[in-house]
Amino acid sequence: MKDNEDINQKIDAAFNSLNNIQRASPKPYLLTRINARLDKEVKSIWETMAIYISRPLVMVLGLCLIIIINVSVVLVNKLSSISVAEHSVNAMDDEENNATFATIDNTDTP
Amino acid sequence: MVAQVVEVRDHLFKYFWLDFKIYVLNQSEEDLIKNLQQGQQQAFKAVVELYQDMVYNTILSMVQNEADAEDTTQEVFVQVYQSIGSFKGEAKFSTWLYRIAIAKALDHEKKKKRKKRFALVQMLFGEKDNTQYHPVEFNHPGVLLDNKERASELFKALQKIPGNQRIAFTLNKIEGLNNHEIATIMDTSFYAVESLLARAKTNLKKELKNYYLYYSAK
Repeated sequence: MKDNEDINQKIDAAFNSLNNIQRASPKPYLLTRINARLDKEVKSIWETMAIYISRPLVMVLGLCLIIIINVSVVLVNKLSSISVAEHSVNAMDDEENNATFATIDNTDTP
Repeated sequence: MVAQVVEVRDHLFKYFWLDFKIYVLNQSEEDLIKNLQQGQQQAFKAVVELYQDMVYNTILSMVQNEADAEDTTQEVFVQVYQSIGSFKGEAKFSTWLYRIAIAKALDHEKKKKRKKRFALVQMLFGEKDNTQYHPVEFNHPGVLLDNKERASELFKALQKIPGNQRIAFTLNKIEGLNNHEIATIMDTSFYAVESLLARAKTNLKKELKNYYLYYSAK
């Protein structure tokens, strides 16, 4: 019981210890240090860029963009190769037909 | 010769200090912000001089380390300088500053926790550097000498209660703000602040009780 009272007194004393608390001040020449920091921050544009690029949203968007570019390049190449193949097959067919007609013509003439 | 140099130096200091005081006194807060938004160095100097104690004291009470508080205060003013353009004047400038200071202090705590976790991992892998793992006792420089020990125990307990309660308690007890001002800073209602303060006190009492019981049993 006495212990409990003692503890309650200590708790009250702890709460009251912040009464009349004074504001703490930083060390002198804070402005000089802030200006030095500002100068440093202005110079490191690459650092700012790296921070911006390493943001998760930017990273994910960049990755998506790279994937989209890759997929589109593959698809475009595939389509163009198919059309080239079709074109070459057609050309071969034409050539074959021409050759056949030519031989028919040759056989017709005495 | 030396005396002359000292005299000139003192004169220059007095002149510039007087000049600066006149500059601050002749301006309203609105003018000061407008000048700061235009990039005037003198305005920035005035803002730092006027608000440095307020920002430092708030941060110090939250991070409970003088070097870290100093570093975070610098970060706050760097951000103020860089983002003053986004200040619309809807809230008071001091409210805006408090918000930045609190956000930076919380960021600092997150970083500290990450470091602690990293230190724990290092310890698991056999590294014996545990200097960051056991924080030193914090004594607020503004507390009266007779109250230092009790205040230190209260600050220790303050670290163990949830963030919002800690912010409300710090702004109320250490910065001396009323519930309306705290509500504006925390962007919440008057009643929410009242509830936060009541819960903070209850939790602090619980923490302190555990602490005193533990040490009285020892």
